[in-house]
Amino acid sequence: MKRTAGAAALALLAPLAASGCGAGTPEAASTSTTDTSGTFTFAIPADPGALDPAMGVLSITNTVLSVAYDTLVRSGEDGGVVPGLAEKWDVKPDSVTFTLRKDATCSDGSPVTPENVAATVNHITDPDTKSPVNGVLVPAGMKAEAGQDTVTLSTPEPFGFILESARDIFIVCGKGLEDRSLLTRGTSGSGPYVLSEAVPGDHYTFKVRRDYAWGSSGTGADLPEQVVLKVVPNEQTAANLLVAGTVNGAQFLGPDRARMESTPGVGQIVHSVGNGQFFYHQGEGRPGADPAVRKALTQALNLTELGGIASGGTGRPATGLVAEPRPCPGDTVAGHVPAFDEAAAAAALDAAGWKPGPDGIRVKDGEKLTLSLLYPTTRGPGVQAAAEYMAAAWQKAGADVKLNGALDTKLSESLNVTQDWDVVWLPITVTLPSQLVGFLSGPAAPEGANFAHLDNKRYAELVTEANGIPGEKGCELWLQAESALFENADLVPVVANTVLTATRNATFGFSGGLFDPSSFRLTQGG
Amino acid sequence: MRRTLIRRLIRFGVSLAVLVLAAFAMIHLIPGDPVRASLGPAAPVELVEARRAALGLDRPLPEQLVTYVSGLVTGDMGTSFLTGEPVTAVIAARLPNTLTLALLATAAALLAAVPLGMWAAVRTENGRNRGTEATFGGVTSAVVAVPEFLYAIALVAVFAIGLRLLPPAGQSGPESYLLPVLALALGPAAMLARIARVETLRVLGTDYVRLARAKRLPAARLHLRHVLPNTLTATLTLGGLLLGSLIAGSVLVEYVFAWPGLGGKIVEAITQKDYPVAQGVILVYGAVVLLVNLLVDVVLGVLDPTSAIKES
Amino acid sequence: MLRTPAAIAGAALVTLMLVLAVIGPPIWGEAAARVDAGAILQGSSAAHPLGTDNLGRDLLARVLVASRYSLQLAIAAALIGAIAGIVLGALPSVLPLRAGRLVTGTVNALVAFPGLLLAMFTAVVAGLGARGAVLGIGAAIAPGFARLTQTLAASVARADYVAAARMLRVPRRRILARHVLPNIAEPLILNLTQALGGALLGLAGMSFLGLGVQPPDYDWGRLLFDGFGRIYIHPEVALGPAAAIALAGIGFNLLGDALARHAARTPAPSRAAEPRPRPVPDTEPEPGAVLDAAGLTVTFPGGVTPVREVSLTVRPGEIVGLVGESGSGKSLTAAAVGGLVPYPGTVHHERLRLCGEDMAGLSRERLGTSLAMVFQDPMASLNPALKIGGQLAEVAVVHQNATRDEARRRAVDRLGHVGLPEPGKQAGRHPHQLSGGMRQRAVIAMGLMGNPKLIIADEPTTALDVTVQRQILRLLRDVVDESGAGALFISHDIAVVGELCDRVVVMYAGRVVEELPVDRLAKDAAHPYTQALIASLPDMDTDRSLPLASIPGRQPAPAEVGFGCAFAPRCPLATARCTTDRPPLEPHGHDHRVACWEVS
Repeated sequence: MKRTAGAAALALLAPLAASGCGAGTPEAASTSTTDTSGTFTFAIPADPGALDPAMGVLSITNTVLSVAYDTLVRSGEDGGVVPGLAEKWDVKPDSVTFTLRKDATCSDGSPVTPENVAATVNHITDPDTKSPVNGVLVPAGMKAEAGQDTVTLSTPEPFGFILESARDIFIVCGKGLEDRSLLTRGTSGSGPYVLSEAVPGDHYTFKVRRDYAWGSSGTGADLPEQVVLKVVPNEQTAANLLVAGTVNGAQFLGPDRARMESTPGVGQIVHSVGNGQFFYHQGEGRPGADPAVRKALTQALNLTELGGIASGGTGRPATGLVAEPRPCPGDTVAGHVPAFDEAAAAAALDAAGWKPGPDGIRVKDGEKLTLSLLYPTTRGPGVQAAAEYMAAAWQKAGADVKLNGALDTKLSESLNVTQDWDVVWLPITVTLPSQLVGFLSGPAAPEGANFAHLDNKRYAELVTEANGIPGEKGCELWLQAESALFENADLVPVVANTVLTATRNATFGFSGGLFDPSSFRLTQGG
Repeated sequence: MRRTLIRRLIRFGVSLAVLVLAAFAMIHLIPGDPVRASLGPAAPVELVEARRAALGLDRPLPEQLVTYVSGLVTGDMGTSFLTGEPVTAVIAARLPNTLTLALLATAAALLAAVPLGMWAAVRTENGRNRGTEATFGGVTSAVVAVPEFLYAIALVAVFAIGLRLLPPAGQSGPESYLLPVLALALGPAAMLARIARVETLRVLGTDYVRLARAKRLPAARLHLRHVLPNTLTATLTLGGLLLGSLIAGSVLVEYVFAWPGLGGKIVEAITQKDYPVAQGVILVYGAVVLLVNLLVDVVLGVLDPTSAIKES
Repeated sequence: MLRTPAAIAGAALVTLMLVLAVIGPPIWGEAAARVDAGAILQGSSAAHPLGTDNLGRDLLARVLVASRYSLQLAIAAALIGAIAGIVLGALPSVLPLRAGRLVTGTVNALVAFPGLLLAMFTAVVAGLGARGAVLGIGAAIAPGFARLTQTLAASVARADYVAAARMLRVPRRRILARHVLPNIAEPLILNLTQALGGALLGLAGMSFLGLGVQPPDYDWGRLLFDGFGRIYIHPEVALGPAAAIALAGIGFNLLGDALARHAARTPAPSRAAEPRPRPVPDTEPEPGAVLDAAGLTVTFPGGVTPVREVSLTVRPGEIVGLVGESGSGKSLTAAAVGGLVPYPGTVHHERLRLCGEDMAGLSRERLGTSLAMVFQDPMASLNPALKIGGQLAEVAVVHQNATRDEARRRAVDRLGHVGLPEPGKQAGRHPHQLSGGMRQRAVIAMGLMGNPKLIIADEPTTALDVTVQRQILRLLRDVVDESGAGALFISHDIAVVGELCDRVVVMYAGRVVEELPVDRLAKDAAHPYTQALIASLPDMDTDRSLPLASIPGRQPAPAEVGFGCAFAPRCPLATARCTTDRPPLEPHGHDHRVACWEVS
């Protein structure tokens, strides 16, 4: 289960380039004639680094790669799986067989074969490759076998999301398979674009393949001549560029989205992108070990206000723990989290044995109710403000709260080693519910990844059961498992943060952090 | 002259060695485990161990130092945690952009400051025009005291967003250099203008300028031919040293303008805990500064032989 | 000290900041901490002039309250930097030589390093947060302090009393504590004021980068860091802290400037009324004279008049010696004749004529070619940046429309004329490649480039050694004889004047006291001052660098000159009349004039 922990690590590495960005096709204000001779420019927040799909560790790298590489399947707008290079598939608990379409060709003109697909997958899972994607985006131990027109992916153990994991594997074809060194600064895929110029730290230019005919949203004839991905590390700058018309699209997490919203001619779409949430430490002797205390403390917070503060007013009510689009759609939160009620909170704390002391701080067995609130200081002012708000609310409820803002170094040490916290604000972004299991159950830290010492029997049972069942039936169990966590106040989802994708003079599909490059369109005027 | 040069070279070598040691020490001085710090709180133990091994952090210190130094000699500064690119390549791609920006800003500062400083000196020589002196002193003092990133933001707001005359960010055409260079040059220009004024006043008080005045030379000739060259040594020296500090000072300006230089990279490297890159960039910044200082001294020795004579 | 508006503004800004630091937290502390979930991330409004933050707290109050913490951190950083720097800087004076060298070398290497880099490095290593930032900025400040302490300590260490203490075998640590440090305290404290401003800006920068103060604490840099992200939507939320930082920076900078200037500079002369000199009786103009000056007066603001009613005549082929102690006004007289009196001095005259023409009416070309000047220090009077030949040729090019080649040829010719060996080669050299005597020759040659009518030589040999002196004097004589120009030769050395000149004019306290032909100097000198000058030279070979030691008393400064004879206090013949009435300069035999009641 340790492998799955890596996914969260990746998400923590690159908060700006969140992997789940929802689905949708933003529409520009006015759609007039399309322009196929121009350049579509998109601002990316960081440099993708080396472009070998087997070595890409950042989600931004995958965003860039999605312009030039196809995948077997891709995410549909509702979170479902839609065809890519594969026309159809057949899912079993521990394997999936894809039937490939026959007309796809590589950027160097060679056909895309089942052998290409198998080689791509097996290269990633080969331990000698030391691929950081192995065990993270691609399940550890996955094997690929090429058939006549088919390719079969299999895992050693039953894995409920084996089909979904194919969304994230970029299929390498042509010369790049023989000489992987070509892939560091070039592309060798079957996507509608091929990399023509790479200036690290500044921009990546792709040229269209007019012979591309297997896209879900159009053929090479409809597409802009060039795509430029421009590295703009600063959202303010991206906003300036978009307002000035220098870029056609960019994503905004921070305050500049307000500016985008008020700029005429800018198309907008808002996606959820991971939760603001916190955990109680349930280790022995901690106040949070008592479910009554956890629930009372949760009740003492106005989660709506807290969510507004944490997200700077741009959040939505949280509906689950997995990034959108979810493989298992549904709302696991509503009705399962204790509601705001200060009086009930006070009563519950009294009942749990925490009586008000002389200085207003509650006491039980001669011990004061002290809470060390750990939070990352690198996630923007909203998280900082949220921590201060929580401290104030709990202070009012009779707890002595120590704010413990930490950089990631210290945060990781606290979580994994020193355990010097009672409550931690910790966003964990995952694309599959299975990726959370290691954190939320199993051996506790410092031995395991279960940093909050959760011991939710119902969750553990449901998860074990769900893992062997692919499809909707398994999903139902996954959703129940999440709700079980909330009911037990093991972790409190506060708000679903959102990201704004703004466009100008262009439309495009962007889903799960990946482009649908066949949907790029330039519109004139706008 | 030669002895001075050799001494100066030795000093450069020693400083460089200290710098390399400091850069090497940095990754070890960081509190906690740099690898875990970089990979984040929830990184799997195997990944951390593998990364540690890849960095050689599990070997004895002296061995690590030898590896590091020999790596430097062959142009190997390690690999980025984040992107897997060689640090040398990252720096090679970005250093020219930072240098261009710093050089242009230094040139702009000198071009603006020297005439301004001379004008102020001539106008306020021997204590005349006290109003001008006070205004000049006050304004330059104020301009120096405002941090460059505030200029950068103000310039973007006015010229890129408000008037839409110039690109707000990025390195595209010649016009994209205008705002970053201006933001970077304003403060140094004010400081240089003050220095140029003081230097000009000094030169105006010398006998050779008195003699040139006795020759009844036209003002332009007097100032351009007799005064200017003699103020330049000191002004250029400071300009050179300024270049060194501008290279480091460009960090925030580069960030505001999304300039593909080292400044943007080091901010990213520090916030993302990409220590090999941070280490490499700091080393390169330091080395460039040392090199600039060395060059200034050497050029000065060639330009102004009197200074070399005095020293030997 | 607070004379200029800039200094006043600086002091006002710093005072304002200090006041805010004291009263800010008690007054606005509560408003700064009040959470209002309904009003988060607002822009400017009547209730919140600078908007609100992520918790709906009032940003104006937070900016005001943050002044205390910002200032505290800046003081801490400046003190750390100063103490570390002073220790580092003082160490070489107590450590063994080798160790001391090492420290000096380290300091030199650190000074060359940009402060921001040093601060970032220290802060990253020392841990992010206010403590790391303070240490980092302190580390960035320290090398400058160390360098300053070293320089100052070295200059004090050379002082006599330290040498004396050394000889008395006082321990070095004690010398440092008792003698060196107290004497360098003032400049160090001054530097601390400036370092404080630097620390404030540096800490703001660190906090702005996210490397400094961490929440829930906040300083201005942190507030800017938070507001910066919103700058394009609600500029006012960043404006408050940005303005606070900029104003504090400007305030410290302006105040530091003013303090430094105050410490470095004697008070500027005040603008008192400038008395117009009294009209003097008109003397007869002398036709045919090269220089004919009458009633020449130089005044400076405040009524200081170093030159009073001087009349001078120089005839063609004649060298007139102008003698006097330093401060007698002889050099200013020469400057007035040459039109080179520095601002704010003003020149009045009854008559100032060159070859019979009023100098005020002469063109630039005429003046540039007919006046030649030679100054005391040949090292300083040639432009170090230009080649000798070019400096000479200039006059011909500018004033005589000569082509470059012509001018150069003439320059080489004149250089040869003044006895410079290999003139063609010398013309291509820079001044520093020539010896002092050769340079003075080159300066004289420069004067000969035009068509000199009057040569003004202001102590041209004082800086040269004796043998070279004689050569230069001979050259001057030759040049005058040959060109028929007149020369005004200024010297404090009456012996040299006696050797070289035709006539002597003796000045005392800004006035001419006697004027007579040189050949009668020894025999007929009438004024007691002139006599004392001559008497102070036992023979022609005594050391002339200590003139007039034999006359008791001292010459009054220009501002101290009273009504009577300025020499009266030192004069053996002085009477009551001498102290009340000034004796006029009157004829005393042929070609001889004296200003003394007791003589005429």
